[in-house]
Amino acid sequence: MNSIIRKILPITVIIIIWLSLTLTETIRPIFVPGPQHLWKALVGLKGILPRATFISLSMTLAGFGIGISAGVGLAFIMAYSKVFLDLLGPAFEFSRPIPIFALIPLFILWFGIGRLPQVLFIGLGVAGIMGVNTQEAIKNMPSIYLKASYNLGANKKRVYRTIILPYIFPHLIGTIRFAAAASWGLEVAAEFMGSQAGLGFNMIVQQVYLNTSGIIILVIIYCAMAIIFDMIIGKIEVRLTRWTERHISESI
Amino acid sequence: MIENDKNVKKGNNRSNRVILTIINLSFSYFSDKGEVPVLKNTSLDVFENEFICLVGPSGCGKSTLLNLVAGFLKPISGEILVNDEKVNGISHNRGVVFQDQSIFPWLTVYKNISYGLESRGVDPKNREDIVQKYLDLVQLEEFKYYYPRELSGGMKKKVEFARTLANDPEILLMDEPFGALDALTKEFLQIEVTRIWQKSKKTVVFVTHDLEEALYMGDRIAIMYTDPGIPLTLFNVPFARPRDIEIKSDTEFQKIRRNFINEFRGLSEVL
Repeated sequence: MNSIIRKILPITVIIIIWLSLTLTETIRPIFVPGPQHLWKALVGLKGILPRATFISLSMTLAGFGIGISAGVGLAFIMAYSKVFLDLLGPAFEFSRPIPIFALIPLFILWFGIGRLPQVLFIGLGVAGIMGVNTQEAIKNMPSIYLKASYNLGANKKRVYRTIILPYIFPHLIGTIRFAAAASWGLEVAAEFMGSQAGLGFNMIVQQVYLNTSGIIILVIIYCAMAIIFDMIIGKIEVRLTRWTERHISESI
Repeated sequence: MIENDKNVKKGNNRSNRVILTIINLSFSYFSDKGEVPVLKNTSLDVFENEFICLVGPSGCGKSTLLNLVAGFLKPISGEILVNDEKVNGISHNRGVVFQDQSIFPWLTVYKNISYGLESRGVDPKNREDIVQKYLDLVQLEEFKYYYPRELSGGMKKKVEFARTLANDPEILLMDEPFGALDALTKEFLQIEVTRIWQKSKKTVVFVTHDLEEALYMGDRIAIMYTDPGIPLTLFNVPFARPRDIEIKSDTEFQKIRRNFINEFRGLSEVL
């Protein structure tokens, strides 16, 4: 019982403070809008919301999907083949410290302001995160499983597919969730790159009109999507890692 | 004093054919502290169908020798021949059972046992029959869809043993397989493995530091010493098969065991 009270206490306090400040109009709505302003903004945005949400959601998912495939795929290829490691490795090492947001102006100059460069931008960020962690996970693979599988007659390809990949998956969950969260941020940045539609673009429009409530509504929608996406990943994780040792996380 | 019986060619009832030959094998470990020689011109003949135990104190090189035969390590010099052919790397024909848990946690018992068969392209119908056979052999039929995390240490060892055996290796290399288990499970598995080996006619090279285990399970014992320069001492285990587990209390058994221990104690005082 105490645990439940502790969990809802902070948010309850914040809501009480927020309501008392805004309903009594003690604070200007341009800084902190109250529920009445938020509702008005929501009604105003109703027209553009469905399409904007769809655009932002699909770009994020596409970028995330491309990024995971590229990041994990390249890490595997570089682990599997020394030739590829030598060819691609130095480029990876060199480009890793580059902050991806600094590349936005370059992206715009090179690729323009279309949908594709934005999705690729998100993919690039996600690939960077996944690639490094996948490489580490593969390197830290316990050798006994490799010895056993080769000893049982598996060839290299089979070992990578049936031994390394399933083993490292639970070790990558944290990274996948982090990459998923990051992909939303990358998507917002991508929309700031000159998008003409989507939630991020609309946030800039709202900002221009000094409509704080509008911005907040759009942020809430991003948050809701990110939370739902994370929950879905969590459910998939539980399904796919039924074989791992369970730890009772509350007592540790 | 254990005599290196020059006439020790093979143990009781084993075949005359040499299936595994180790010739002048040398191996060292290299670290930043320099070279640590572990094997120096080590030679050994292993006969078909025999159960030979490699025994010795920690660091004598018995696991290293097994790893070399398995192909996980490459010797500095010397040769390993199986069926008169030079050994080159890892092969399912020299199946290994490890000391640590090596069954794959993400696969069920069934899938673990069938892993080698799938890897080698055995067709599904045969696979099914073989897996079923070995599941019954180790008495784990009831647990075939369980995951390793749901099994006890002893059960995991049985799965590992079944998995290696199902792949039909000519030679079984067992590297202190019961080292991590409790005394009761260990003895249970000693009996089981011996029983299964007797039915199967495989050749087993069994590494252990446990002299009692070696004497109970082995036809021959090869003693290795910490000093890599000292050649192996070979010893025929004089007990007939099948052996009852109670033989461990036998006076003769205990006497031989004491002799071994004294030999090692004497040697370590000298060294």
